[in-house]
Amino acid sequence: MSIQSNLGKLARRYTNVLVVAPSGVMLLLFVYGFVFWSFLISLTNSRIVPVYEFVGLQQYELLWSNGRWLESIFNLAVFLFLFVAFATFIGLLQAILLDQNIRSENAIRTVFLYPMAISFIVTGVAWKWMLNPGLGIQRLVRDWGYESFEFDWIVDPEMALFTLVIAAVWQSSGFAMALFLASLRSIDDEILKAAKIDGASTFQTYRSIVMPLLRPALFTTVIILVSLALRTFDLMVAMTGGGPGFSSDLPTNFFYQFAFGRSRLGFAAASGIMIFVMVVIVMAPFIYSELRNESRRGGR
Amino acid sequence: MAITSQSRSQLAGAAVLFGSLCIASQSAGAQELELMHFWTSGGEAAAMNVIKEAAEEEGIEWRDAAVAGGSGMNAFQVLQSRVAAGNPPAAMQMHGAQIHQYAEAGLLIDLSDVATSEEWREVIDPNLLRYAEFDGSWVGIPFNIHRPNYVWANKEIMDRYGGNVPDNWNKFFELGDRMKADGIIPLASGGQPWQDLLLWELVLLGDQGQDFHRRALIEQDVSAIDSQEMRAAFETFRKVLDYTDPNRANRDWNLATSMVMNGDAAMQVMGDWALGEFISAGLEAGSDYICEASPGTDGMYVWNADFWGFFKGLGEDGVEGQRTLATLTMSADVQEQFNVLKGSIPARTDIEANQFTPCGQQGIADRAAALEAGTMVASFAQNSAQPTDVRGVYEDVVTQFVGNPAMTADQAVSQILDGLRSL
Amino acid sequence: MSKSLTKRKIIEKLIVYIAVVSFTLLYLFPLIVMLLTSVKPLSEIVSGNILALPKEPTIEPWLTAWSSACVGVECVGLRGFYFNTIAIAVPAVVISTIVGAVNGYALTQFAFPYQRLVYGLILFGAFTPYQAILIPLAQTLGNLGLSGSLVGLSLTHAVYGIPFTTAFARGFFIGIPSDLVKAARIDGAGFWRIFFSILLPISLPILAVSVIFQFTNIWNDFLFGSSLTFGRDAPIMVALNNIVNTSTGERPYNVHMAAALFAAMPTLALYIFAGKYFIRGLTLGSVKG
Repeated sequence: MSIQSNLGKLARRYTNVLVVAPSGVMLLLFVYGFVFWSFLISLTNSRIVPVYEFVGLQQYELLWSNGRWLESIFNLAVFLFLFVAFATFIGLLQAILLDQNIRSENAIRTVFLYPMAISFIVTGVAWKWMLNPGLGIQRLVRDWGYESFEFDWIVDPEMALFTLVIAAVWQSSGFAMALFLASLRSIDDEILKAAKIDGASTFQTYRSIVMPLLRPALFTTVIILVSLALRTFDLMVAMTGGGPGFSSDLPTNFFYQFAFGRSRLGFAAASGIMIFVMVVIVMAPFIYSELRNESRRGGR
Repeated sequence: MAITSQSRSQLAGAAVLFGSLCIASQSAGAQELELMHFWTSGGEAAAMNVIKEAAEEEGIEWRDAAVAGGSGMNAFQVLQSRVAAGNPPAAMQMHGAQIHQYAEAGLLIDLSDVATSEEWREVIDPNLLRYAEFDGSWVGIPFNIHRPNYVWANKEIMDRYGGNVPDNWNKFFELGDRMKADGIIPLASGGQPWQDLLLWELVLLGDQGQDFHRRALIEQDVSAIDSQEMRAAFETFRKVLDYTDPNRANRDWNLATSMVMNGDAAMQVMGDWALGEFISAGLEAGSDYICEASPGTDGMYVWNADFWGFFKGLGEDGVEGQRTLATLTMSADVQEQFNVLKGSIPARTDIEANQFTPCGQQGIADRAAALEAGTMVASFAQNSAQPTDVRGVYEDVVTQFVGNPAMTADQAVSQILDGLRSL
Repeated sequence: MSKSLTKRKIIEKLIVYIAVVSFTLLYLFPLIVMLLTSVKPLSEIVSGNILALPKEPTIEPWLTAWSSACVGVECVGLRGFYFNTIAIAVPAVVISTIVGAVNGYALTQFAFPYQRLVYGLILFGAFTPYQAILIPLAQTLGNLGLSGSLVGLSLTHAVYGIPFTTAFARGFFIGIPSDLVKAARIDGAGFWRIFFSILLPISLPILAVSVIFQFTNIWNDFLFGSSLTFGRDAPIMVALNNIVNTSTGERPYNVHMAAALFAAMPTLALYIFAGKYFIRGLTLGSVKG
């Protein structure tokens, strides 16, 4: 803005700041303020109600020496990686398939998308039942004559976590598909035609021309899937309850158990803050670099 | 600023609409009480209904706030966020340890004068006083006494194997081996942390006796925790798990009970709340099912109790309602009818047993004998011995022990010690 | 076109169709199972497998789920919870969508001090682990006198939805050529004039995305609903969870599945009938970084 900016321009400049200000203030309070508040609670030895007598970082020391916490962190890492990778890959594959001028595209797209409409509670209820070895898929395949078929992952400590991945991918891959498909649809047809004329195979076209153009969609997809994965709670509660043992336990459940079942609010708050810190570590550089790239690409 | 003022007026409109709905529902009925509990299975809900009907006769409008799932944890989540919000319910159903904790935080009302005028002290099971009272105040109103150390067995299956429920764990293993050979699941169980902890406690008690149970679980005596007896208890527990079916993970207790009812499994080690399920299913004690003390605990009465905790913060009318509800919950009639349906026995010791099922009658007689003999055992797993955080240490270790077949008794012991140190 | 090229094309198409059909069946499988289960009597569920067709179809489970499934001592089904959830979701969706759209516009079409920082801070709100804010949130709502009320829950959803709706709108508006707005400003149009007469009409697709996304999130919410509302004021997922966790003896899977389908119906309908707007809206915005 030049020095000659007149009052009207200044007022307009104020308008947009003023317009965003209420959201900013609300989020400052509801997100950052509350997180700070929880941080304060995590510095205390609060039991069932917050009591502000500070004990330093004691709860964090206890947290990181707690085997159950470490196991839930490890589970989250595995779950997050597999869930994001599979949901992204399957979503991308589905988007590419739908982009091949197939018949009944609308109907099929809806089929890929509909699980997104279904809550984790419902997803959990349905999948818990289908994965129940006595009633579900295992029995179905055995009824078809494959007597020795085994699919008992949900009760197997080694595999239970993967059942969460299956259900979560089924539920969320449609979102990845939608984002990729939208991105594919906005690619200029001329580029693809030119590639065809040059004799490139479909595979080559996708690999060298289309994929790079999908990068922004990939960014959005990964961000949303990661945020879903970090929050996974209802699904786990409805499907495995964190078991067998703690084999599918997640940090969100750890918080829940200690805050509400064990009356250790201060300790639970420390785990909540650690979840937040993990989110910051994962997301902040990602958001930062993407916004920087954006400005380099000419966004405002 | 057209758009913001527009959205603001929409918000305000919505607020007025909802606000008026809330006010309308709050002002209806002078003594409206909101009651939270997690009794949602058939027998439990039927029992709670007894109190509800009695309350309604007294002019209390009962607003039910049942929260199912998570073996009560969902309900405590709601309770805690309500307490944080300064908007607690009139009362919540809880175990002894929780009554103690909420009383300690100064959240429960004192009913000492009601206790005095109703002479509760004369009629209540003396074990319950530890939790009914806190710091000279009467804070917990017991519904019942439960007995967790039961075996529920399918009569028809047991008859095929001689008819006797094993009275120690070695006999259980012998019987179980024969059942397994015939393709019968000897022990129905649910792999949820609280169920595993309960089973573990009862195995420990049956295997190592009441004295050891007291030292290791109630007194947290390090020499008892770090002992051969404790390791032996873990090893017996590991062996007991071999007699359960592989699909036990995350199974609710009442589904395990129905496995016994349907003959899919022979026995279940579970508290007397399972009786409510048998009653709801219309089955007869003695001809359809058998109830006995769990192996090795004959003559012992493991107990836990459910209490109402009445919260501070209601108006005068509300407090009047709370006092009315407390009085009628402890009244002889309600105690009798409630407990007949719940499967538990009355918290009062002056109630005739004849309305109860044979299992309930036996329970009432057993309690009288146990009170005499000093063999009442406060249940650690059922929150009647230690605060929830201490119990949680054991629960986590037991859950881990169940989930990881490679974990040794030594590891379990050292994890318990570590966990207790970190409290 | 050469022969080999045609052959390659046919093989490619074949692979595409095989993949599409397998995905379709896989994705429909859970829904089919739920539907079949919800119309079978309990005895058939226990005796048959999950894909067995009902021998005696019944709508009894649906009626039970709707009006008489029990939670605790109350047997009122899911019926009453529909209204609650709509009353929570509609204001929250409307508010967060409008606020998000205005934010997105204000952040992109006018010079905004520290625009990226402000946007980054707003966007980060989308990743808040709700565990880290639950107790302070409950206490704040209590202080505002909104504890346990539908208004409190609705407000909560509106606030935590703003990061998402702002991100959608910003992604869309950043792709609008700035010449359009510049020209309007030269003509003397102000902030709101430009928004209402130029940008709002072309931003309907992205508003559709916001609405669909927000409505689904709020309808499907469990954590906030279960912590911030109680008893009969609870939203539908809390009621559903109560119903599926309430049972005696044999689990009424048919009622549970019917209840689950009832609970999922509004969002399912939204995706089936408005799903194409979702894709269309995304095509026009949001993914163009």
